[in-house]
Amino acid sequence: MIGETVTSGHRPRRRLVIVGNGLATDSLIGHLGTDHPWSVRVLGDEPVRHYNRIMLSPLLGGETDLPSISPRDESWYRARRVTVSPGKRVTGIDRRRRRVLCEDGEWVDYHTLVLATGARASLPPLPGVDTLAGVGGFRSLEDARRLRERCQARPGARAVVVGAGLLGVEAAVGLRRLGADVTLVHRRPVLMNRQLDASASALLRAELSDRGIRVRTGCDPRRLLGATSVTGVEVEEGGVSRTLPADLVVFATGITPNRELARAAGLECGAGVRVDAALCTSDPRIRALGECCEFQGNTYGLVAPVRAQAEVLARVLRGETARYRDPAPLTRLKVSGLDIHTLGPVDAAEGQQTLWLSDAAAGVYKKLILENGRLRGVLLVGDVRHSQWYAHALQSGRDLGALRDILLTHPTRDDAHETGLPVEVA
Amino acid sequence: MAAHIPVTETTCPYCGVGCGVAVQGAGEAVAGLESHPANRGRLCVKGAALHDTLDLRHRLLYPEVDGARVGWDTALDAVTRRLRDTLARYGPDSVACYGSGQLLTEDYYVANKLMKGFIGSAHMDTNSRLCMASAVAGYKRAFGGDSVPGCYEDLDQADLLVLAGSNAAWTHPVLYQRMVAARKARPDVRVVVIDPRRTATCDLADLHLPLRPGADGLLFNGLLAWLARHGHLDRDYIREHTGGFQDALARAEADSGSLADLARRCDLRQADLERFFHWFAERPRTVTFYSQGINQSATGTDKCNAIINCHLATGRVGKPGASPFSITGQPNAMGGREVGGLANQLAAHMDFAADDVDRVKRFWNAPNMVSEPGLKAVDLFQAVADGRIRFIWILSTNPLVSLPEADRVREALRRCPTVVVSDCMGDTDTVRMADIKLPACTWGEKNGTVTNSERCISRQRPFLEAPGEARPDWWALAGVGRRLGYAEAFGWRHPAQVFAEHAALSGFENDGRRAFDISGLAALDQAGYDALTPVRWPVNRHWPRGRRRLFDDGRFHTDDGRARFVPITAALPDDPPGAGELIMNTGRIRDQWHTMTRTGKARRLLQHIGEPFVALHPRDARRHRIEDGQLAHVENRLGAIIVRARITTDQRPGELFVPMHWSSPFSARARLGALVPAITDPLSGQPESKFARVRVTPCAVRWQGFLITRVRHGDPDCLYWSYSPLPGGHLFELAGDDDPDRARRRLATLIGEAGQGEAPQWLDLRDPTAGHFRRVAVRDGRLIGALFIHPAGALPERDWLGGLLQRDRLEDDERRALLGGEAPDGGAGDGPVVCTCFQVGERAIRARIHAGDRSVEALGRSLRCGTNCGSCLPELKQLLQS
Repeated sequence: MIGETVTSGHRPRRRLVIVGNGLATDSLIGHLGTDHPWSVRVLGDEPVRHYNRIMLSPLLGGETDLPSISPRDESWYRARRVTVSPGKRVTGIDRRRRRVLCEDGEWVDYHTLVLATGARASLPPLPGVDTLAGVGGFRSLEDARRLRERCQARPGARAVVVGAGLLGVEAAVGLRRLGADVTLVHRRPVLMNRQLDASASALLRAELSDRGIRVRTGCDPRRLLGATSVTGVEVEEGGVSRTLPADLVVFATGITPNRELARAAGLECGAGVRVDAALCTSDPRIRALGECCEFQGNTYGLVAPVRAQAEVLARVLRGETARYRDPAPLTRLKVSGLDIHTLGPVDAAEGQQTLWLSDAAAGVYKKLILENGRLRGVLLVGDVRHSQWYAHALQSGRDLGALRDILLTHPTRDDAHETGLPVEVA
Repeated sequence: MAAHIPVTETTCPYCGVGCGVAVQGAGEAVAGLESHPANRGRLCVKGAALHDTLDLRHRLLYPEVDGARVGWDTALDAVTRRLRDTLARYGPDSVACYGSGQLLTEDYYVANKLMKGFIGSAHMDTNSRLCMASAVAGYKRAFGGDSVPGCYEDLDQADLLVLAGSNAAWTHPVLYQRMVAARKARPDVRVVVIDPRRTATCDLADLHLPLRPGADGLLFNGLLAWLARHGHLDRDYIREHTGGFQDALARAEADSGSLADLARRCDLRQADLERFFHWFAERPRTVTFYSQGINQSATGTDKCNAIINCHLATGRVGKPGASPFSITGQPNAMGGREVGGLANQLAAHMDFAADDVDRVKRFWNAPNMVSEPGLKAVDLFQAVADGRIRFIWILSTNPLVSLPEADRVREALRRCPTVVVSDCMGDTDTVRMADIKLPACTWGEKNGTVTNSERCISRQRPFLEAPGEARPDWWALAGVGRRLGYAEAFGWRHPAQVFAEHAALSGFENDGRRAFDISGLAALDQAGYDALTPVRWPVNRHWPRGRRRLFDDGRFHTDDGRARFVPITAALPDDPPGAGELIMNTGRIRDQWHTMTRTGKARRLLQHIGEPFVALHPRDARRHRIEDGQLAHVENRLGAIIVRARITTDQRPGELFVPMHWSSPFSARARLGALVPAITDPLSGQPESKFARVRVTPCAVRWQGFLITRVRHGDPDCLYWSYSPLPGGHLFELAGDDDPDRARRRLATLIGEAGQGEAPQWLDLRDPTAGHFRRVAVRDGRLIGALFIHPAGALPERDWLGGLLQRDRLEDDERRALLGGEAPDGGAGDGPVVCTCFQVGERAIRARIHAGDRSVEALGRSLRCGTNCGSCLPELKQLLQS
């Protein structure tokens, strides 16, 4: 039974409805805790109650399974007075009467509505992208299932992954693990160019090559080939056109916030659903967070800001005052043994200074960006022992001038000396 | 059962104490020789590290002529040919020989005979001129011969030990430990240290007199006058055994004036002065132990006689526990004097009196006997500079570092048509100047005798095969003598034969007139020579087993058998500092020896003090804007050096101290000889090495750093560097005034390994804005080098990285820690080594003190520090007090 527990004791609880059931929702529920004043209903369009989307790549590669990445059980939700309705697609919002319409015809009333509808892979407008079988993104359980099936059906399947951002790299590694013959193509010279610089990219590239993944940079897809199923990708590379044979093509060239529901309801939207620092949309009864929202012109694709938004929104919903600020995004990537952590900008801006450490042969590269003695950017490849420390230091904004000489090598040394305890967190 | 390991009984090659050393096998281990009277089993830290200096690194192993390796025959033919040409065109006065207190008596004897009897040049001088000449001249004036009256037992027996111009704790540690033991056994013993600096020796002092530099003569004149004034003279002794007392006393009285005046002129407290005088008066058993602080002076000879005057006036000469006692710096300074190794001596304590010349000529059957004294060291190199001397043979010494105005000496050698250098090392400042290089045997390979500061003749015995084509110096010298046509005179086949001839000469027509007489050893055959046990000369019919003390019978070697008082007018150095100038004093440090050619090979001897430095008082540091640990220029019109500043109240304001050891292979610009003016004592010819006017200024650097390499590819090209060996590699401390990034690129080329193999893997740390760079090279999993550069030199200690040179494979966590420069477990290390014997660092000692150790004994129980040679005890005490 879908619980309509709208009263509790002497006072009716107000209804909180959340549309979408991804990481943002999970994090929000976690932060709400068990003593909040709401009755919560989650409407998710995916068929399962919950899974950790970050683990999609290991799931694709067969390194883990669904139960392992779905840690929430019934009692966890019950303790938080949350009812989850999987497979429940929302098709409309009636803002005047404060209710949402589901695909199955059910109306669900809300006192406050939270949009956490996420984002989808944005497929480039290439000929064949919408029509050919074997072409798609890599965002969901469904995507993972489809790719697994295709690889298992065809051992040694040739896969082309377009876009070597975080997601593309993960998809390539997952597919390679499944036994696919993987080519990773990237338009720019630097892999993960939002997180890495050329040196770090070279290390990542070497690591991927060691795994048997072909990496082509400066390589731009022009056309998909095939009649019904995809058979290849025509690319332009250094002014030359060539064809990469492919049995499946994964686009990881970016994401598009799922804002259509909000726009149809007349909420103010840019690239995403516009929110203020309290995660409030143009309708005070409706909040939005995660990959679907837009704050001060930014949209989101990484975990850290989404978690931060969830924390702020949970506090707001508990009646506290809280304001969201974009944190420096900490990105973590682990490609079969190669750890990459990045935090903040990759390259120094005017007035900033860069510190480097490298041991190329051992696959280690570190780069720190400082401004007036304060940490602004961190890039760690191969040796991420101190990333937690750097994250604290960066977020606290404390002056690290006195530690500058040891900042790249053993920043925690003096802490450990003072407290007798290692400060490092793995 | 363990195999029997042969033990060779030999003598230490360092200072004039002349300790016996027992060497296991081929130098596997060394220990003090229990049976040797000088040390009775003890060794100092340098001696205890002898086995660390036996490797062949940097050795000169083959003869070279004009840069080409040749065989010995070719080399000696070349020496002979150039010698003949020079003699033919310019005469014997154009030929010189410069020897060393490092030479064995046999080497010395042959060099002296060759020069003064056969080549016909008296320009045969040695580095003993820099060390002992004033003491010799003082003895000869007072006693009629170059004779140290006492023996080391006197140090045990004295009730008052006066150390004048001697930092024995560091320079003669084994004797210092004897004094420490005596002081401990007899608490009534008083120790007075007379030295402008508060040295480690002051640790033992009941009274330290930090007098104005150069005022020693005045002080002892004052003592003599005071003793006379207060009735403390030994009138009988003066009357029976001496002459010239009244003149000497009158001069001393006139010179020293009132006590208050004396104290003012010595810059001492009057009460301290009086206390010293009272102690001297009350304690007949007085030894005045003096060294370079007295000798190395423009008035060194007078200072020696001012001291001896006080001893003669109180009858304290040659008696148990009572003697003036000059301590020599070198292992065989005395042996060199015995054979006549100085330009103003002939041989066997004979001078240039006509009958001496004739006697030696007859004994040698010499065709070209000299009849006039030759040039003393400073004048000798001046003659090289102005072209009078055109052929010089330098043996076993490094005058380009040790002589005053060393830059001029370098220029002189550059101009000299023929420079022959015999040395065991392939790269010294002097070897670099040689036209002909002759590879000499060194300690462990040499076979012969040395004489220490108490006239004790001991054997240096070989326990190693000579490496490469190294040969003993006497053999090379004799080879030239034979080539000149004197086959008979230079026909020895074994050093025992040389020694026997030397011993015979000492007794030749002697009849008791010359103190040095070892005719009792002239009949030694090779077996007897090999079995010779330490013996104090004379050894003759009257004293067949040697003689402990001279002059204990009140008979001296003057014509009338009386000792001579010498009237002294004490003169302060006549070159007082001008505005902004300071006085530079020089000397040794604890763990180094001379110009480091041997001690510089032992890493552990560079752990106590690893870099050249200048010590200065905090007031001067402030005035000249110099911070502790900063590099500083020390310069004057003669030259300039760059050394690290150590700020210490052990220095008197206005005075600096710079150690004498660092030479070009060990530091970029630290040859302090370049700053010492060639002012010499008119009698002894000994240079004034303790009083140079200099300026000191901070040395502006843009970066400091260090370089560790497996292979030494060359000297770093930067403003400042100093070198230390590491086991398995090399360490350079660096500093520069150029762009640190450019320096990084230039200096990193010194990393890398000669030979084949894959290219090294490079690890880099760069903070270009700060100017902080680190570069490490690894090949086949081994560390091959590291270069660390930082604008302020804030870098990790070198020992962990340096130690990795000995590892064949780095662990992953070690590799990850390389650029951090610290052990992966974060171990901070023991800190700078204080106790070299047991490798105990300052941090470890401080930790024990913190944990409750309250005495050096407790520290010794906890960490063993200070329980071997004892030379770190003063520092342990300082740490306990701080």
